[in-house]
Amino acid sequence: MITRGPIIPWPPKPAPAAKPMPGAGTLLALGPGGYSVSAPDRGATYPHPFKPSLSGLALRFSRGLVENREPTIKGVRIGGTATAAQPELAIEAAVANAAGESWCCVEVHPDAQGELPAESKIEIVHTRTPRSLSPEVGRQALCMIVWREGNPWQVLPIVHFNLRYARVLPPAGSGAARHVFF
Amino acid sequence: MQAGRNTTLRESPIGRSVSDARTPAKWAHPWTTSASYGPGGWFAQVKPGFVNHECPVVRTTQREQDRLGGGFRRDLSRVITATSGGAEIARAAALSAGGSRSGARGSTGPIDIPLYMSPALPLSFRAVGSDGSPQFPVPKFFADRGVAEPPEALTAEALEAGDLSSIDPRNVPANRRLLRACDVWLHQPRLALTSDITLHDGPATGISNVRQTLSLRSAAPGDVLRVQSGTFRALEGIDALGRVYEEPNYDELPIATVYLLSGPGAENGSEPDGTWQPFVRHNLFWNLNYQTPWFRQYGGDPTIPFLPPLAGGAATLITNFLVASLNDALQDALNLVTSHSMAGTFYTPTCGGHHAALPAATSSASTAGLDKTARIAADSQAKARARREGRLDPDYPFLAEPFDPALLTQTT
Repeated sequence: MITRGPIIPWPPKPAPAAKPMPGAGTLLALGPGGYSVSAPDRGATYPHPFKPSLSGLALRFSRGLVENREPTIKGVRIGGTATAAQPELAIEAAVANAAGESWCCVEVHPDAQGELPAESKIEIVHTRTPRSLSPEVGRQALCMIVWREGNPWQVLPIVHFNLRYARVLPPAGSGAARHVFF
Repeated sequence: MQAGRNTTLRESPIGRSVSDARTPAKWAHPWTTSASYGPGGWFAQVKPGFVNHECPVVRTTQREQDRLGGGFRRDLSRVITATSGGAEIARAAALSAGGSRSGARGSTGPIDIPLYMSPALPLSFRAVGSDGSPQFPVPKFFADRGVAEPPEALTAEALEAGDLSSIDPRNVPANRRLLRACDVWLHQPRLALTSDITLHDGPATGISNVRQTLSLRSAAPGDVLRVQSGTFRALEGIDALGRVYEEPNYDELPIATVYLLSGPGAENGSEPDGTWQPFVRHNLFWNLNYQTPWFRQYGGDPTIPFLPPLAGGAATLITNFLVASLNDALQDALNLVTSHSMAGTFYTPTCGGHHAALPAATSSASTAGLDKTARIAADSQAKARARREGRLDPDYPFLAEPFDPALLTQTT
């Protein structure tokens, strides 16, 4: 059975002039020549290792390697696995320092020889102390979070490459061990 | 209805349609520097970069920010979109509340504004090219655009005195363009080595002992990791035999150079205004890690004998011995200062790569041979090389500060 729709006159009548409204991501300005619509510049993206992406109060990181191993969040590799989705790192405003800054760091736990054995943890943490003075724990900041009024305002990536790691012992009597990410 | 920035407007029988005409922008790397002209003159803004985990600051005053009129103090009534408006309001609120990481409140007290708040960095330019000092050569990029080399007759002294009379007007082309430059660099405070050399009487007449004392000086009070502008000067060499030698208690690394290019036919000595065209040549493209060395105790013989010449050099053998001793003393003092220097190292963590630049493969084929494929490849590479030389910045992956393997010594 064939049904017939309403007959549309051609050319159609112009829609009645209505006051335009700005949609998402557009700027509407009224000037002597009428309305003008503009859009902000498109930011170029660059899918580098350890790229953070913010959603609400959680961060995800693109896949990246430390000494050819993928760090984890809550025991799941940051890029996700075949059985587990890409994990999120919960972030809290209370962690930020007085300047409203906190960091997400990759944390390594070397053994007594300074190596990262397969069973050692390499995980991402949210902290206000991005440097570790302990010889057992090394930290490298991956991104800085700038907080304003309890909300994350900016997430600034710090690392753009995969990383290698070495622990360097000081000369006798010269201080603590160093964790070198390079 | 008009099409504004990044939009296109089409008329159709059913009305007008607005489309998104944005093109993917070039990725802005850390330390990307841009120059703008405001009511207070030219200023720069630097995209946040990091040294270790720290974002550098610009040490400024609220009055200076107001004068420069950058995005940091933009009139809020002009802000309409929600995204940029939130950022501007947060910036202005932080500034008015003295929301700097350190520093005093008030309009004239110094405040430290992190780069992520887009502070304006005032620029003071030096002349480069036909009315500039010969010590600043003209980059090829600008020579291709009509900037002439400085005349040989123009000395640095005459330039400082503002005397440009030595420039022969007959040698200046009518359509010349002038060039101004200002460097932007990173300032990293650190500990500094000091060396104090004293002479003591030796065990016998005519023999002296040289004693060199090494110690550490802390960073200047209140000095912080920050970005500065002006004319960058590399640190001078070590005078190890200076009686008192003090290292600078900071390390510095150029971020970028902002150039301003005039229109054709500008008068020598002109001050740059809003009609000049800005260009930026970057030196830094990636975030940095920074390491300072450990201060180590001296492991050699701490006493360096020094024997002054005897009897007008009557005994050649003795004189040679003395000269050798003197050279040894100089070299020892130099080694001592160099090996104990507290100068730090900047590097980009690139997963062990020594350099993040990927050099283009070079062809050894002749452009005049019979092999057509090789000729085409060589021509193409020659064009690519010319294109690279004609640019201010390299293409992605840019360049990175190399990692010094010496930082891995004494690894467990």
